[in-house]
Amino acid sequence: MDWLQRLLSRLFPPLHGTGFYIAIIVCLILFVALFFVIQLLPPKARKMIIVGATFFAGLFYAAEFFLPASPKPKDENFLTFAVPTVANFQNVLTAFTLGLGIYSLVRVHGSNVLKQKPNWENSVVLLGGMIVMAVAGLGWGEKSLFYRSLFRDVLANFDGAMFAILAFFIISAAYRAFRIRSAEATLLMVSALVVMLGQIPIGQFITSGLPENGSYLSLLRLDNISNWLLTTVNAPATRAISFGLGIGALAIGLRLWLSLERGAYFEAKAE
Amino acid sequence: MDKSLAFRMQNIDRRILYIVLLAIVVIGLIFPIPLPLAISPQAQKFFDAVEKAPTNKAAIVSVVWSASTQGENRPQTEVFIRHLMSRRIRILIMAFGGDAQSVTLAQEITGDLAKEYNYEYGKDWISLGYRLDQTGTLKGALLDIVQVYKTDSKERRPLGEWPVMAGVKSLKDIGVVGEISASGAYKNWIGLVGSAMSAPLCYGPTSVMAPELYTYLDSGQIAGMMFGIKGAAEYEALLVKSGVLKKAGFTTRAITPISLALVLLFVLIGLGNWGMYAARKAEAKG
Amino acid sequence: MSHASVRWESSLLVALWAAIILVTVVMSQRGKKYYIRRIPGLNAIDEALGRATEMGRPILMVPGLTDINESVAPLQALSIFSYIVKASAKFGNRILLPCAKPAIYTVAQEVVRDSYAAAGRPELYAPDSVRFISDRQFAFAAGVSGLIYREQVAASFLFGDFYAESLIFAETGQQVGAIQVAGTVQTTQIPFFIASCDYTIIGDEFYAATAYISRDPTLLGSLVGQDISKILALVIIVIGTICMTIPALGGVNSFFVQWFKF
Repeated sequence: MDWLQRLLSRLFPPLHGTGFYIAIIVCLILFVALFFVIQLLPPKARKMIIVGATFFAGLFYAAEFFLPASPKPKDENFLTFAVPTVANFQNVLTAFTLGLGIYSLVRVHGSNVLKQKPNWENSVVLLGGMIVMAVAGLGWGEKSLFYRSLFRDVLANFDGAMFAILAFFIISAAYRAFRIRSAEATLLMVSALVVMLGQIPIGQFITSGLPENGSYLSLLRLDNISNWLLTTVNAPATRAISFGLGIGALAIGLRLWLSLERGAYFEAKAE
Repeated sequence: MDKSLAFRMQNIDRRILYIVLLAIVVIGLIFPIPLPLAISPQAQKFFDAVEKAPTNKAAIVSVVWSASTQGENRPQTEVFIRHLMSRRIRILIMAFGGDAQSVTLAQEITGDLAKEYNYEYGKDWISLGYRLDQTGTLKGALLDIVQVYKTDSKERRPLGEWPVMAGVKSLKDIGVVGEISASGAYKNWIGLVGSAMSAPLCYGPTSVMAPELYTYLDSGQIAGMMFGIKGAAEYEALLVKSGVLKKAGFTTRAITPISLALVLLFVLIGLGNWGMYAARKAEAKG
Repeated sequence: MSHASVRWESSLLVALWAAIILVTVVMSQRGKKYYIRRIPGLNAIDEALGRATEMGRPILMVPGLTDINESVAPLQALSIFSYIVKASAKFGNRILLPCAKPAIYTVAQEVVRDSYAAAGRPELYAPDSVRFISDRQFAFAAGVSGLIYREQVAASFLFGDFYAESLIFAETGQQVGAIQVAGTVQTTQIPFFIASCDYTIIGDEFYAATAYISRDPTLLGSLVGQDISKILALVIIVIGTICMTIPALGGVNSFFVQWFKF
């Protein structure tokens, strides 16, 4: 089946320089035109296009996975060669959606500022931050001190601070939630305490007098009990939930791929 | 017993909890308690996988974390890269996740350690760059890393030209893979490329993520794991034991505040339950 | 696994599961009735909506952190939100739907607009109710937390893929006294939701949610198909365990044991 690969590479040879940029512009124009054509179509025809596109997009990965592949180490079938191209296509599509996000931000916060809605000052900070960061990245470049200072000294620390807030929230949530109200709650709390103690040197120190291994007494070490709880009690429970989730994801994947759901997403409008 | 005190223990103002926690963490960082740390079997397996990795093959360090989780993920990345460098294994850095800063952070860490171990960019290590779509990238890299990445991310030169890529066509030519992550990205490695690669896959998740991975450790799909920063401290202890490091660093020091914070948690849980018990007893008495 | 042929046995199982789900979907669409058990967390949706109406404060819905191409969970979350929007349209509740991914934001806009139209109240749709916050995890967390505080939300629905930000949302919601219902496919985040939310939907109940609340035949059929597939998985696990245990005990090496050794 190499003919497909050869045909495609002949039809779409790699482009460089001006040809490459012309190709990008032509593609952009074509897709914008296609977008408007789809908007002009009646809802039923539009739905058919959406259903068809969804099906064929999903079919590629399904077919590539299920069609027999040549034995290892090659492990390829006639569609495998296109995987990197499809991956790039997906990356480009994802990058384009970022524009929509920026549009939303500017619309919501721009309107806050213009109409001087309550807390409009926050919106000014947000829009200002967005512009300054974009100018620093696009104007001065990634390697400039300006961008690196904003990125490393401001943004990275803000991110770290938000994650650190979790420590405080964990304390308050655990303090409120860990109350012995039933036998199950007691069991849950005792096992949680053992796991936590087994993870820290202070907890490990309590039973450090017991042998590490090679004796039945080693089974009583907190770190060993903690590890046992994680591997023998927690892991099967996680696995059971994962099985259910996996099959659930398969079901919703099938429903979306084959557009089986009624009333969801674009259909309500189409009918 | 003061009844009102017991009642109050049920509903301690959260601001008091936060201040006590902050104080304990700061004290723990300034005055670390030197207690021995037991090495978990998972960290030992991670260490062994790197120890057994062939030195003629390159290793992949996949970075899926950003500044927010660097408290846990940075030490994990550091000890892993340090171990690879001590064994003179070539390093390819891949970066994924929702945040493009992963590649910058990974390059920064590797660049700093490279000076210490005399690692040359392009010859001993290279940054392949950040990709948003891990699924597609990994599937592509299983066939051809150069075609998927095309250039390196630091100098933007064609990937095939760098000496570090000699003998590396696809993921099948890799000796060991380690992903340090704050997300559930391991499923992509296991599900898409794990069985096609001969290299062991090791994982360094944040502590919160870690319990999810025991399933895959059990099945052998993940060779070893660093359990958050505690796992990194264990790994650091193993590096000290094997002579790679002279003495333990900040990672081991950070275990004290974590331990003290957990002790505070036990105390608070105890107080809350004592308060609840006292309140119930008082109610029963009428 | 890169290709089905690497391990045809497990791929066959996936194909079999898919076939079972499709068959039950078709049977349900043709009128077969299925029973579905009660899920307390989902009954709480109406309670939360009632409370939001009484208090006159908005309802918050967060579809998680992942994108369309990473997980199906946000789409499932939007299906649940579609029901919530339709139900809230009856009372005229204000809604807030912050998104972390631009692609989800566009789909969410469509879903909310269509849901209001389906409920016969298209005029209630406010474009600002669905908004993109940031695709950075903690910028998103900070943005949503701020929204919860400023708007003093009465009810908060957290469905989808959540990571470290789960507790930030749930604790902030708890602090403003919101009634909270959460469901996630990320098992590591379930404990945080249990600690801070009023109701938590665990595991694959998340995928059962739309079937439970809409009673749509396609979704019900799919749910029953999932259950049959799980029973099949359970049977295989039991047989597999027996087959692996017998040789371990120094037993047989029969064809049957070999066949199950995939």
